[in-house]
Amino acid sequence: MRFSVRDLVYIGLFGALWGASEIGMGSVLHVLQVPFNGTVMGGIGMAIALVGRSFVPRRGSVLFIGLVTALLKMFSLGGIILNPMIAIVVESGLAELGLLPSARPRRWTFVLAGALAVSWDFFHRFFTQGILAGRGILEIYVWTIQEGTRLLGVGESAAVGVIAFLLALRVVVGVAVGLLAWSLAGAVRRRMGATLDGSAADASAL
Amino acid sequence: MIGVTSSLSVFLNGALRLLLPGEVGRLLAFSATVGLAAVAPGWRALSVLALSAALALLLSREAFGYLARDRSWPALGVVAIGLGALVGERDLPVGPIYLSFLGLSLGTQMMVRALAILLAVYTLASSLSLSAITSILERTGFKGLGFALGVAVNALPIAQRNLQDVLTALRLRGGFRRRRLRAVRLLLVTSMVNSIRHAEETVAAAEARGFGSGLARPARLRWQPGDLVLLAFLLGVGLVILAGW
Repeated sequence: MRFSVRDLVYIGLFGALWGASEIGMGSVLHVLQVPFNGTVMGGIGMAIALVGRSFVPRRGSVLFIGLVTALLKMFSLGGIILNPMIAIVVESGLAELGLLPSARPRRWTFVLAGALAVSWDFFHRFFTQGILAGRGILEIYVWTIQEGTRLLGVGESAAVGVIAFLLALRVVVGVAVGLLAWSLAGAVRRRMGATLDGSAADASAL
Repeated sequence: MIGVTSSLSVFLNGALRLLLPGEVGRLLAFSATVGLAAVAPGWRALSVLALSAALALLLSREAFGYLARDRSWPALGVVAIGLGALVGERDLPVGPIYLSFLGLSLGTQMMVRALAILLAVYTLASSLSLSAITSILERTGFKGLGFALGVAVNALPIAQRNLQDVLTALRLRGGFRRRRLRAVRLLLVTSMVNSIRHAEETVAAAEARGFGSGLARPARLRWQPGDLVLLAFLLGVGLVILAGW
């Protein structure tokens, strides 16, 4: 991955914007005990990162923005908190996968990137706990679901249905995030006098 | 006499500093601890946790503070130990209820392994400097990360101030009384536009000073005597743990 000075400045800027939202909104959501706050924070951050992609329309830019945000979070107030840092980096990586099919920003790749990135929130806890505690922890979760459905007198398909609903909820939020990011990017560029096809991420359009 | 004592003290301080592991040693300590935690079976995870704690005491005591503030491992403990105690044959009477001794043991081992890994991660993160972390990442293909991070550190307070100013301006103009979604969108767009204008000034300043991602080389990680001492120690301890002595 090789970026110009302008690209790196924009990456730093959008990393700072994502970091500012993590620092500002993260503590508010935690204090207010908002449900699905991981999904909300992931959505906001991904919207910012995808807008950044429209200004640095190069492969790897969203991953770079995520890395900058994770490092910024690590060394800012509150210190090193592992879980959100892992989530930020993985979400950025998944967003890059979603953006891979097209070299230039497209609405459908933004939607795909948003859906992949925000859906990570569903898997995050199982992934980190699996890494830390080993495979056995996942067997405990499976056993818990089986016992829970037995105690409640419902079939396992009901549990599968609930899990599928929770995952689908995050995918829908991710799709909305992708669409929002596309719309925001267009609005920002119109304010700055450029077009969205990536032809003017430079000073001549500003 | 005073001269001899102070010279001895300077010599000892210098020797100790020489034997302290450097950045390579810290990376070795992290790799060894995580590797051992992944492969050490059963209750040998306790030895790995002890190794992790000893390294944290040597390299960065702040790691214990970060571990204490981490909210993930208590939740993991409830799942691993609490639920684990209910999995399998319940043969351990605890008051009116029966728990699974095997499940309890396995859950506790999982928890010990998780603590060892978390402590190793926090020790590495709190003992390495930011420039060391960015130079490691730059060497693995993320060229320019250090520069982008520097821009982000400078831009963060400006971004926060921009957001606050725009929010205040919108509120003064009655922006959040009606059509709140439109107001939020306006807030985001205006904040981004203001931040991008600042970014353009930064680009001009950086280009005028000849900054470029191809010019700067990331700092090398150098071996220090303390790293070799630590490597020998880790090899010895690793063999002991894996051999099950």
